[in-house]
Amino acid sequence: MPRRKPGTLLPLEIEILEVALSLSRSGEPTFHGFGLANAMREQRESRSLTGHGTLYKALNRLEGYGLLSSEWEQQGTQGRPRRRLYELTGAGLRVAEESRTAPSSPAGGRIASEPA
Amino acid sequence: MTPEQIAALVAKWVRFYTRRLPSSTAQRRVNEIDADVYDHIEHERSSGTADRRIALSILSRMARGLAADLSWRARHACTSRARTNIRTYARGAGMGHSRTALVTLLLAASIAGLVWLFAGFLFAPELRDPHPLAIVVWLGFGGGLAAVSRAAPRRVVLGAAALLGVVAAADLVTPLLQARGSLTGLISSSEYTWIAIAILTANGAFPERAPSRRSPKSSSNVPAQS
Repeated sequence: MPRRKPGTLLPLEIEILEVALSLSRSGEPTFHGFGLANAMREQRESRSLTGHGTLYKALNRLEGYGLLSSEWEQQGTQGRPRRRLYELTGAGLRVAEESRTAPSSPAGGRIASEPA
Repeated sequence: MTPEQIAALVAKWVRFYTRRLPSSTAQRRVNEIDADVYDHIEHERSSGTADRRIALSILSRMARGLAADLSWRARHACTSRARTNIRTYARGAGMGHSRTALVTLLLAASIAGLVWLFAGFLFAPELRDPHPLAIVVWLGFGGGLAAVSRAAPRRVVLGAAALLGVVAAADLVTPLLQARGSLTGLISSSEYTWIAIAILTANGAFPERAPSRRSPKSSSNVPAQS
């Protein structure tokens, strides 16, 4: 895994934000873990899904940075466990848009502050 | 190997590496992974994917996330230690972390052993011949099984070890079977024996900890750290 420079995001975290932005623009402002993993797989045209530990650790970090927010689904469908639903925050939306428009610029994938 | 069996393995693994963490943190991770695996199986089945492929895909996701799981636990164990500031709990969490590291290593080795087994069986029969690396892999496989078996009921563990012992003995003493090399054609009697010994040793040498080592009740009041 690449080392993190202070104040920057890892490639996986940027990918999550960009996919979340795509989902949001296609009318799905909230997403759950497997849905995100599947969307990432389709976007990168890969065969494999991101590992459980890797994905949820990255989601936790992004939430810690204030780029995502999450809450439990009110009620699961019959027989299905409740999902944790994530959503881009205002700051997350800004970082995702910056990253998408200028991926190579120093501003792309930068965060304002380290998580608490 | 069905998707449900692998889902049960993932569920056990998640419960193992979240043990003795603040309950809100642990429960959130457990529920999230349970929902993820459920969604994964439903999605792949609705796409017409074969059960074996779904199972391998879930197993692969678990294996690729092992290191991240371990570092996530280490971070949360440190956080909860700092917050509770209870000496006995700090000792318990530290021990839990090193034990988790050991089990993670063994689990990774056991998955490597399974891959080795299937690769040898399906694609490269020469891999089944004795090889120094095979000994390492089988030691890891046995150790991994032993570690995982600690989560199973004692009766099941003893039954599995006894079965392995019987297979090893039959393999060793039956001339007809000896002529074929081994009972299954995959591993030798000594390997069955070592696996059985590893399972019994892990379950006999490391009894469950006393309740006093568990996290104090107050830790469940720690706010969720996402």
